[in-house]
Amino acid sequence: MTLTARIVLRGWSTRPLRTALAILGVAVGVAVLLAIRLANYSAVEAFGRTLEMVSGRADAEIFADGEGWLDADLFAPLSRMSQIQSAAPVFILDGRDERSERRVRLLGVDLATDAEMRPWYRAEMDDTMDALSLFVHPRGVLMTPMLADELQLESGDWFGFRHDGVIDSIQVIGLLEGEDVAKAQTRDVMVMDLPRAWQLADTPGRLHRIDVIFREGVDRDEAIMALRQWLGDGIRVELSGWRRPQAQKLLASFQLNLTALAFVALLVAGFLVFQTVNTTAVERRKNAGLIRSLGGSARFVRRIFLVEGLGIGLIGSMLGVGLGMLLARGAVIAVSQTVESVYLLETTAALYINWEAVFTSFLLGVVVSLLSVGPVALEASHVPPRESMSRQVLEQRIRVGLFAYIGLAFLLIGLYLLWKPWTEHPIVSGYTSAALFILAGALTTPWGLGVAHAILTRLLGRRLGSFGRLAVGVLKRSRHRVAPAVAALATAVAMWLSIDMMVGSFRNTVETWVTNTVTADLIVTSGSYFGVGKPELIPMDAFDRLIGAEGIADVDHFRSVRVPIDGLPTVIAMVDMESVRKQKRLSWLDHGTIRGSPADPLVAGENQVFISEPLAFRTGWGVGDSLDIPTPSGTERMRIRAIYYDYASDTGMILVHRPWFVEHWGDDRLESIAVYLPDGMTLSEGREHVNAVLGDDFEVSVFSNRDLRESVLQVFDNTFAITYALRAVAILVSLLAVWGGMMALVVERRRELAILRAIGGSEKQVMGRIYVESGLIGTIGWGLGTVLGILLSLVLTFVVNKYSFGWTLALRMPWDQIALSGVLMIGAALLAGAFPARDAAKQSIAQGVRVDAE
Amino acid sequence: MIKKDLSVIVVYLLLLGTASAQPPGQAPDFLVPEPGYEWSFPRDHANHSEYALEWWYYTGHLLPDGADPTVDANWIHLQLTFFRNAIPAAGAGQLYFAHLAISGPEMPFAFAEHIARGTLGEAGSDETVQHVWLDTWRASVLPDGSHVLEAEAEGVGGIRLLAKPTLGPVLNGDDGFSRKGPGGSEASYYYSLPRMETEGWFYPRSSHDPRHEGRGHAEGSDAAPVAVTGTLWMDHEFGNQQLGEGLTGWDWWGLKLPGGEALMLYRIRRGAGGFIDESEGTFTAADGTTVRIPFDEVKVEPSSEWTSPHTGVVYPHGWTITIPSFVHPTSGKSGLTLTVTPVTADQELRTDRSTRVTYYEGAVRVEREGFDERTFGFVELVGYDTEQAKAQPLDLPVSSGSDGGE
Repeated sequence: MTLTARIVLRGWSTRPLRTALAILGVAVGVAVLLAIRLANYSAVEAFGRTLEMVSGRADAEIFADGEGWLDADLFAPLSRMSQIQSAAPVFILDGRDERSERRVRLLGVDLATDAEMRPWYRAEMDDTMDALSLFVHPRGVLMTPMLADELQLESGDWFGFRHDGVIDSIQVIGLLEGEDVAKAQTRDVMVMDLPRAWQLADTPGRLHRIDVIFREGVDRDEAIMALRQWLGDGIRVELSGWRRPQAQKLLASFQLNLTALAFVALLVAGFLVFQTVNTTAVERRKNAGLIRSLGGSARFVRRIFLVEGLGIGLIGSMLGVGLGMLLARGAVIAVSQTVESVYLLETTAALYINWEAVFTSFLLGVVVSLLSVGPVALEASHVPPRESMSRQVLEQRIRVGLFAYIGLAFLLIGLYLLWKPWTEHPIVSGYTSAALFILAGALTTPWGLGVAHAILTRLLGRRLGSFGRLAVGVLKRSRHRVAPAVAALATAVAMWLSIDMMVGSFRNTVETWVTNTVTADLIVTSGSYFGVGKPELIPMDAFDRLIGAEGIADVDHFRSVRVPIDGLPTVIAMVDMESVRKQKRLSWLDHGTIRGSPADPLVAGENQVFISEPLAFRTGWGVGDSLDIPTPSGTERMRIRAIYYDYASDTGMILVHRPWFVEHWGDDRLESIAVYLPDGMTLSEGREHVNAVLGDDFEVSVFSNRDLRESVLQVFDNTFAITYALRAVAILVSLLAVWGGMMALVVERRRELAILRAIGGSEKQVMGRIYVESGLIGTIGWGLGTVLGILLSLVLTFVVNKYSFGWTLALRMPWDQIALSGVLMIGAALLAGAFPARDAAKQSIAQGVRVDAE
Repeated sequence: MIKKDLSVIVVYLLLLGTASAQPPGQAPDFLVPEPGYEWSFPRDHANHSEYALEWWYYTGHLLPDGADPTVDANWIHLQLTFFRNAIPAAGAGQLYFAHLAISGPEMPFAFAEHIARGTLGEAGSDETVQHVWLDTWRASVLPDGSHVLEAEAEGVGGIRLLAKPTLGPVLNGDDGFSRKGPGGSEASYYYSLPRMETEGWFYPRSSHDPRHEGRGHAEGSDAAPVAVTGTLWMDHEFGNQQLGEGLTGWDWWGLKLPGGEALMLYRIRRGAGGFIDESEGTFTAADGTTVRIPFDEVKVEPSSEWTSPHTGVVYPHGWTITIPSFVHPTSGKSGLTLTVTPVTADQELRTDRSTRVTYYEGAVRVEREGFDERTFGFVELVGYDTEQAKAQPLDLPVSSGSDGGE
């Protein structure tokens, strides 16, 4: 064994606790980085699957513009197109359950090949049925469990299905499984093999929709253009739900945020490693003096430091990699068990080991450890031996003021970047300001401690008492040792809070997306619903009757036409602007500077319209621009009054006031009516009520929306479980960091405490002092961390997300987490102080005083 | 309650046949093959919808223009198969499966499978002339009697071939009535076109991993097509049921022999061991004269075994086939001894997405004792996957699309 190794190992064996803490610090840093990066992959995967489940697997949907059906002859040549990997025909037959009069939708699909398209093909089938029955049973259907529940049917039961004036007996041969979250189209449906459904409806050769999945690598927009061109007029091709830009944006945003989290974790990890290793090295400085006074060269001293740093780095990183994998696996398994049991998803369970992440985390641990000993090694090998043996000198060397100025400068640059980000590279810009904030926090900590000390002494003054003053004094006198602990605590809190804010804000955004996609409690339509063909229209009377009825909170209506504007087919929707004004259901991207509701001038009959954000984005139209809208009674020039957020549709929409539409189109019939129920009313009550209000005068059906929305949110919550697990990892790591830092601090101060006892302090007084100190450090670290955390969240929200997606997350202040982190962090600090404090208080005074001379 | 994953719906038609799985109801009656069928070509190349099952099987060997035929590694081997399974209910349509497998120079064996329903015309088979198709894959007979084959899959490669039969149709068994079991109804109609002079284009597979990228090309292959010539062998079979009870699978050899002759042999194995008496073969001389060969006159010595790294299934690998009692129909010479060696070991198809049968369909080298010329053939080994044989028969996957290539 070389002398260097011997000296290093000797140091470790004489101070095992401190060495262990240093290694633990490195391990924790490496672990947090690795755990977050590993779990990210699974989280993104799960999120993507969720989106897919909510809206199906198809890339695009093809349906007829006018008559409501497609010729089945289209299908074969379509399925042979080179862009298409698979295509699935859908035939729809609407009818009613004979007994309950409940509206029921029958989907006719090719059961042999449809599985690729829809996520819900898993069925529990009646024992007496074999799989072939699906194809040969003339009247057999598979049904969603929800529908079966509502119709009070079980597998094997027959029921009467009334459609087109006839009643057919139908047998439920199985229940679809794992689809409780599936998209609206598949929720209240039963499924039958296509040829059977055609026989039932006696309309062979008709399709209502063809769902397609494109081949991998095909540009979806180009493929859609090609399909449109090939299919010609009268047939529409649209991206299907989850392929729509909004949903894709959501997915990309989720991914980016998790990456940002990994970056924050990287900073925190790097910082924690630096912190611990550096503190240990400072301790060892005295040995350097000893070695040099015994004739050791400066190079030899440097080597000792580097070997020690490397040793701690290697051991710590190895432990960290193991710990990180355990943490990530734990998080992923915990989450996937929930997700799997509820939704039959399987992918999340497998932790994807990304070796690149393992390697970089390991490397980070080692490299940062080496870098952390560098400055100390350099300094220790240069200073005169005698000087290095005295701690006082080192403390003077810490240039508190200079650090503070640099830190302040970093803070200012960071703030500037937050205020005016480099918009071309928002991610670089965002990460830079995040890094600057964390560095600024660390650099200003010593100075901040001085400030805290001044404030406390001034505020409390004499009331502190001598022990109190001593305790508070630690902030100033021992700030070289306190500062690292405070900074570690602060970064840990910052990471915790920013993760939480990111997750919370992101969930808020998803909620908005869902509520905007799936609005209202009940939807009243006639005929086809969910964008299949052109639905039959409902007379305005139905709306008037509902709007005047008791027991209904609010009613909206919808009617749209497509007109070419600037050569682009554009949807014009007729809405009730008075309802818009009253309900504030639209949120505005831009509504100019005029006071009052943007709907006012429209209600007043001015020639003004609203346009949706996607339309504005696509066309570059802005508030104040004028549009020439062709109407049956001539072209009208309309001014854009406002742009509203639209998460639900990417095709773009122009909203006009009802009277204007009726005047120019001479038609006031509606496609659908959205009904909002008063709080407390159940959906079935609501549906009955709506049916009662409308009576037999309208051939309409009432769909429920609210439970769908709730189940969708529930799935998202389950997906988010993994991010909550990440947060748990962050909390755990934060606590470890705080505990480690505090332990190190108290262990080092044993001599000081012994002296305190020697001059007459009681055990109680010594312990009390440590508690006060720990509490102070915990509080200050937490406070600083909260500020840092908020700054990081602002960066994530307003720089990274906004400029990457034009998508502002709804920022949510996590007060509960701030409070919780305070309690836990200060508690951890106190607890970390407690054991060594009791030790220190009880130690033999003589030995304690000598402790430094070991 | 039985749980059934409908992404794995369900159709065990190929092995069990439809007759046994036929539920009560309005199932149309399918004809059962009987001796004495009146063959009529080219009509009988086409579809026979009155029978529940039907398949068209092309296997062959192609050589790129200018390549040295004596170098084994220059040859391309291919299999293109279309299966039709009727669903036993009026109007319920059919299930079409298709398999494409290719191996060749610097192209390890790869395959793709395809399934479609046919109710919407995306797959089908014509009733009057042979024209069977499934999406973009097809096999058609032109008025002059030549066959056009087209198929392509990512990661597998593609073909566009014109094949002119120069031998046959050879009616196998009893005038085309081929027994597949001891029971009277366990039979199919079966004829072969053992030699088809072929020319056309081969589309090499793209070099990258098909699972990850590049499906955006119009016809899927990026490499330039290669002009090829070679020979194909076609089998066409239709009937009502494939295997009788207690039978686990079959071995089949379709071997081209020197001098433009051909030998087809099959034996259907019993689960208990051995094979059924009805197993047999057909020798076809260069002038088209045929000789029926009962399998009990055939000695088959496997030369080794091959264990699939994908499934763990153990297949015999290479054979010595001797028929001491054989008398050549034109020359009168007696005895026939062949050494049959697979050109490459791994030629196993795992058709999880269509027929759900794991089988071995591989090109072989044929050496006939007393002849210098070496020829090619194909061997098919079905039913060696004992796990699969035990599996719940309803648990079969059916989904659409291609890309089973590996």
